[in-house]
Amino acid sequence: MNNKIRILITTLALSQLAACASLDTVKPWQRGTLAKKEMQLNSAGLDNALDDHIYFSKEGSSGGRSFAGGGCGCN
Amino acid sequence: MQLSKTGSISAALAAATCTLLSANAIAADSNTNSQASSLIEGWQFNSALLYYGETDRVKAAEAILSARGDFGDDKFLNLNLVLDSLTGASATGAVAQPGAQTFTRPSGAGSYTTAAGATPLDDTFRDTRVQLDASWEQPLTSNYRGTVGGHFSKEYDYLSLGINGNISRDFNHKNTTLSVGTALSHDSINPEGGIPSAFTPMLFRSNFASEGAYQQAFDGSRRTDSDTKTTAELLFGVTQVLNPNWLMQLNYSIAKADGYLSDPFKVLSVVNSNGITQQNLYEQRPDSRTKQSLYWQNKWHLSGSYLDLSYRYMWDDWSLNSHTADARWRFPVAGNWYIEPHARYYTQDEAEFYQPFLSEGMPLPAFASADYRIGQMDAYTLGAKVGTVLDGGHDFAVRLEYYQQNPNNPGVELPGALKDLELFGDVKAVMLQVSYSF
Amino acid sequence: MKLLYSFLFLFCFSTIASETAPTPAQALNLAQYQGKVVLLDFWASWCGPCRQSFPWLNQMQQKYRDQGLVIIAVNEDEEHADAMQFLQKYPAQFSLVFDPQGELASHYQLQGMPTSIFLDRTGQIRFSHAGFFTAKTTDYEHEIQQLLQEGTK
Repeated sequence: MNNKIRILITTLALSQLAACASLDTVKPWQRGTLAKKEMQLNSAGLDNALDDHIYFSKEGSSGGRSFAGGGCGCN
Repeated sequence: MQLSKTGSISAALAAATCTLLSANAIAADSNTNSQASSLIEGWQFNSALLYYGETDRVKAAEAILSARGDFGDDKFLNLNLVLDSLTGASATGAVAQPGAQTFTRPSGAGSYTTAAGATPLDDTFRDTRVQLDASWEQPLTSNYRGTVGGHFSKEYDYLSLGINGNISRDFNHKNTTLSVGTALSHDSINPEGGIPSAFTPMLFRSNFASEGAYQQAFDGSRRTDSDTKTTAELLFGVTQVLNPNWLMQLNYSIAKADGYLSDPFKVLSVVNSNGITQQNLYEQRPDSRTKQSLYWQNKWHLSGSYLDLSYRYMWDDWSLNSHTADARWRFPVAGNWYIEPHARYYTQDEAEFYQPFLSEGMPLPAFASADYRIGQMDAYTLGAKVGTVLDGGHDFAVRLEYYQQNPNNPGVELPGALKDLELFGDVKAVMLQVSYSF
Repeated sequence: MKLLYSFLFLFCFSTIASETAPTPAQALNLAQYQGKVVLLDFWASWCGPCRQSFPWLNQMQQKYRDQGLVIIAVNEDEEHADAMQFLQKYPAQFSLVFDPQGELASHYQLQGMPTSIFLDRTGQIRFSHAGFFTAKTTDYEHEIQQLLQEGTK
């Protein structure tokens, strides 16, 4: 199982890289949509915090999220 | 929030790991709402009230107030206050029986009864919890950004203290972001009635000649008054902008918890070959747990709508592997209104020491728990959120969700009377939330 | 003769111009600012730091207009309405050019948003900054002063 997981991780990571010819995908002046609050990784921040607490209390798993990246890319 | 008293420890773990970056997340919810007029110059506030209710079981109310202060040049202070209150009954892990049953309350004082055929639920638990989070984020040298934060959570018998930090670095004109985060927390539990020794039987006052004799036996069955747990977590993330309308994130995290990981209020029933309970023993879980997860999230802007799809695979050394798939799709409707349906699917394997009951005559295992929340189960959530932007740029939304858990028998043979009883009943809950930003 | 040709050229240009809107590059037309110090500021309604930069730009334009500073703000919003909404809240007392397709942004190879490009009196690019930081406004102002002092005899 561990080996399968390692393969999965590597595949996902590589597919992320392979999916685009270059990672420098969007020009700094084309980030209007990415700057919108609905496009932020934490756009459902409050809802997620409340839900995650419930699900963690009622299920056996937790966590996984983080919020760096995306957005308007300013400064 | 303890959605069952047994959740004390696990909930605190949740709270600690969730706040790895969630203090920022909660407060940042509407941070890009540029046109909103705010109560205090430079500060954005977000608030929500949540009601959670299971049919015939736990009911909880939670209130959150979060604030995000802009100190200029991308420096922010995030503050979070949570109050929650819990009442109602939760499953103890004991099995249903063809006849009525009596159980002793966790404190050792008093007892409660369960009707014939019903799942034993302990309704002793009423608790209120306060949580405070704070975090500071700012740019470090160019393209680097750092966050540092703290967490405090207190309820009657539980205290959780934590710190967290995160560094992220942008590449490719901020199209790619790598981040590393860490969280450490220390929890202490001091339950009423103390912490029972592993697999000691639940005692009944009626079996003792005097109050004194009973109290002595009860105290003798307690290992200690209080215990602690520490958790350390590391998270690595990659965020990539794929096109002007598509953002993707992939995270790997690893967490290690050490200390008291059992639930002092949960028991296992020892049943004979006819399925009749002979006694109930307090559970015992291992004193360490290492969890790892892979989390993948996509956000799309599709013709004015916003789709958020995520998947998490979690695996740990308790063999409790889980898959979580979550989808939210926000559609604009008339004027400033939107509707956002939400669906979530969750499935987990049972922990390797999970047993719905113990069999009389069999040797006791090193670890065992009948807590259905670490058993095999599927869970479904279906809901929707409706919201708008009011005059002055304030967000208002109402969210209604239906959550159902379907525990499963992981292939255990049910002896005698247990065959005809519902041991793996579904748990159904409703969540209603109102939120407002100002 | 030259005068006639210039007149005819301008006449033709203006008739063509009246049929098709000027491109951002034409609207910018830096040639007309020879001898002035030009601060090109690329902004958008979705750019957070621009809410801080606009009041500062207004201040700079007012302070140094007489010495020959021209501030031109180039807007990168794809939706014109978004830009106008921003301007209602943060009015601009300097020239505006609209570049919704990003032609000028692409031409100047912007590295981030916002970007400010300082051109001296001969039209050469002398300083370029990606991002706007209130902590650096004194430095930005020194650069303006330095360029204004050049070429004054």
